[in-house]
Amino acid sequence: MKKKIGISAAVLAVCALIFVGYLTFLAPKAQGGQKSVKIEVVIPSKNIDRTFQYKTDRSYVSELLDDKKSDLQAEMEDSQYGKFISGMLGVKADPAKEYFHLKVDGTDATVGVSQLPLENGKIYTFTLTSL
Amino acid sequence: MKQGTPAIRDIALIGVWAALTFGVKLVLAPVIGVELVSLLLAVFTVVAGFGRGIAAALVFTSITVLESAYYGAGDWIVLYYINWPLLTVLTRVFLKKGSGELRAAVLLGLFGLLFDLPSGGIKLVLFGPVYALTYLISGIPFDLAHGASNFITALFLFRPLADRLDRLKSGIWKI
Repeated sequence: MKKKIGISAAVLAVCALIFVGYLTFLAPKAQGGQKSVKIEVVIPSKNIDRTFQYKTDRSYVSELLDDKKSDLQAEMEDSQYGKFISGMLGVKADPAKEYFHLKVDGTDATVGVSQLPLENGKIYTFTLTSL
Repeated sequence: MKQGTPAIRDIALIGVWAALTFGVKLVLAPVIGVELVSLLLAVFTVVAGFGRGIAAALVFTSITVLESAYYGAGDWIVLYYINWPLLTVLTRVFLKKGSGELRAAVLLGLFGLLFDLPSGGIKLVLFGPVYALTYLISGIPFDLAHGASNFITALFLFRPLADRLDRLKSGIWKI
């Protein structure tokens, strides 16, 4: 049993080291200071296409969405992979049929809103998209 | 109780194991990167045989795909149909009934660590190399958690589960 615990601890230590390497060299970095960004919400079925411009000191998109809840009415749900958007501007996505697709300057985001850093001048577009 | 014919017993056994695996998956779903599906399918393959193992993997995957009615369909369905049967093939190749827990832990740990690799291949075909690479890089923390948890659970649970299942196999299942 002691041997198994020792091996497990060694494996966890190696994984922790790799994780530190990931955070240091590969993970998206948040930008400090004030940033000017745009949030665009597109809901084709309701003919909604609105753009909001904000200046913010926040680091991640989810934080800005929380701050601007009165404008954007963003509803976020926690999942094992972080937060995902379940509603915007009072429109809730039907999880069986649609989801809010997130793009940054027209390119698909590769991480969720809680990991996506806010960068000066970027446009973050949420489009209600059919599955 | 009168035993059924071998074929009927197999069908029942595979269904029960797939359902058990699915139930355990649901229970552990809130815990990031931790699952016992790999362990349960590997143990079943080792003890009940490759044919029953791959059948259980396919039934389990099909039950899981029904979840898409709630979570939405996606390329993860293809990933599941590749990965879980593949695990039973890897188990058949690398593990035997008497294999030690360290061997099982290494196999299942590597399987967890590289779980998303086929998904990267799918995304490479669908969306191109940049998306596939960024997808794989952003998944590294989850893959590390998955690999480590698979390694540890197999290290502690593979032998006890395989031994008990083997006793059930000869005592009750009569297969």
